[in-house]
Amino acid sequence: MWELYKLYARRRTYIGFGAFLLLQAAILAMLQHPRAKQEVGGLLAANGLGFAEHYQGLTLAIVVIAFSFTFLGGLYVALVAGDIVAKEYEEGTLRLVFARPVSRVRLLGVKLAACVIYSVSLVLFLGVTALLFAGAYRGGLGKLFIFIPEEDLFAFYDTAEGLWRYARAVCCLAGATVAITALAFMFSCFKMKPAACTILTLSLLFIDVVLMNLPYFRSLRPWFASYHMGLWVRTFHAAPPWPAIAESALVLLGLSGSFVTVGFAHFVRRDLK
Amino acid sequence: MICVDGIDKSFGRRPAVRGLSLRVPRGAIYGLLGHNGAGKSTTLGVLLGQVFPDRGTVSIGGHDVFTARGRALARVGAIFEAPCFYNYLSGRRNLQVFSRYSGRVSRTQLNAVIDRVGLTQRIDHKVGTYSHGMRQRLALAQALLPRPEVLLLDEPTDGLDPEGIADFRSTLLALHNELGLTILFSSHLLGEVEKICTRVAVMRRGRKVFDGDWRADAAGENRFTLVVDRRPEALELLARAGLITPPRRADGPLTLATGWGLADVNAKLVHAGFGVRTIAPRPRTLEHFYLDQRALAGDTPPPASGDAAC
Repeated sequence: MWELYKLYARRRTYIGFGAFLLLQAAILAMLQHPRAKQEVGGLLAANGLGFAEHYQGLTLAIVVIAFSFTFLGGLYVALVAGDIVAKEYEEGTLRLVFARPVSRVRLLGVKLAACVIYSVSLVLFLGVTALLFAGAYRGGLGKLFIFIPEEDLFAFYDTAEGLWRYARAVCCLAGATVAITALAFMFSCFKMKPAACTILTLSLLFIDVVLMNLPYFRSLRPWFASYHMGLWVRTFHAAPPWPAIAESALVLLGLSGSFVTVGFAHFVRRDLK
Repeated sequence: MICVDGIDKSFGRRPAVRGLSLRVPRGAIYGLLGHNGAGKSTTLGVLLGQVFPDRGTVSIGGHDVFTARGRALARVGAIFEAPCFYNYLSGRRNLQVFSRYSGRVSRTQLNAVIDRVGLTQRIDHKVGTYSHGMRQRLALAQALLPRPEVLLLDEPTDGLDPEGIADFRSTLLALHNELGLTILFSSHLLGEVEKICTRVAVMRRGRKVFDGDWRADAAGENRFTLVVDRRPEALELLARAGLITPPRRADGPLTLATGWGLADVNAKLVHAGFGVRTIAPRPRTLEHFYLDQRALAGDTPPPASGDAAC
């Protein structure tokens, strides 16, 4: 509880939330551009779907999430999780904390929980505000339309089904984000500067994304973490590939568990001086 | 109360503490002295279970710090050189956060501690606006929250102005008298240690070179200052005549042999044609004692002033 209080008492914790709001507004404004409308309209018309009812809240919210999370989500999650231990060490407060009879494992557990809650709340915030913004902007939720060629995904749903799938996908994205949190948290447990934790996390994440997207590695995509982090998108398939989604969830769980274990194992043996 | 047995600790290839053993009895105010890098902070880190020793054991109140950390540190308060807090929280919130790590503290107890350190007026302001002295008082407050029996202080008066140092000292002595605290006090400020501590341990390059009541150091009574022409020859003469114990270093402290006085030394030198410029007993201060210990440890001469050098 106090760990969360400390986290949310810092102004920088809210930068992520604020930045998402700004980016959402920017993306929605761009989507109003005639060329953007023309592109999507053409696609919808070619498949016999009406532009007015599909180019609305649900559809645009997914576009907003896909773009804003790719660029900012990892950054803010890595920033907070990378800071959580390393910053306290750097500022000297960790030494004062460990002058108290608190176990290292317990303290790390509390800090990890705070990071996970932050990450999940950030994604849920993004999901809710994207829907609210897009809905308000286009005057309603409308029907859901999603088209992602790389995933062989082309689907459209009515409002109720679309809303349910949207909520489910956002929850899956929140779960997937925990892997980034765990990676940054692991680095934070090592003796390094907070900024280095964030940079390392983002570097690994970007390398993973870049390699995964190289056409030459298409057959190797399941070897990349970012492929599994995309599990939220696969829940939009008319018949979601649940075994593959479950496998991705397990891979992410395994990665997160490994990162956290390495971080804990190092930290409990580390000299704090 | 505090037992350190045969602690060794190296960071990489650099030994920080070597074979350190200490016994701090209940109710003592114990000074830990040493140059920068002597191993004082490492020792305090080991005592708090923050630094893992390569060898040896540490216990506080009979509980091993590493196998029963919770019990060992339950009644321990600590203050470090640079008091670090969450600058974006108020002093009160900081105290609440830190106290949560060792159990709930009642509002009454919290207010009593705040009042005791004299921070009542500013306790609800953000710590980022505090002066160094106020931060140090807040540090003392957080150290007092677990109702400690032991206080571990690592250079607590560094950076304080003379008034702040005097305030801190009087608060510490009052706490010691009222609560019977056992205090381990690491500091560079020898004057402060002299005023506060009943016993001292002197560390040199990770090793303990003295441990005990420095005022009871018998050799200290016979140390004297001598400024004389042709010093090496003069010392050789005095040592041959049995007036002084042979010094380990020509520029080290001089000690009268039993049964002789300064008048005998002076007469011997004058009769032998040496020009004696200064001869006087050394004042028995902790600073002199500390510098003597350093010089006796063999590798660093005391400062070049006439008083300390002779």
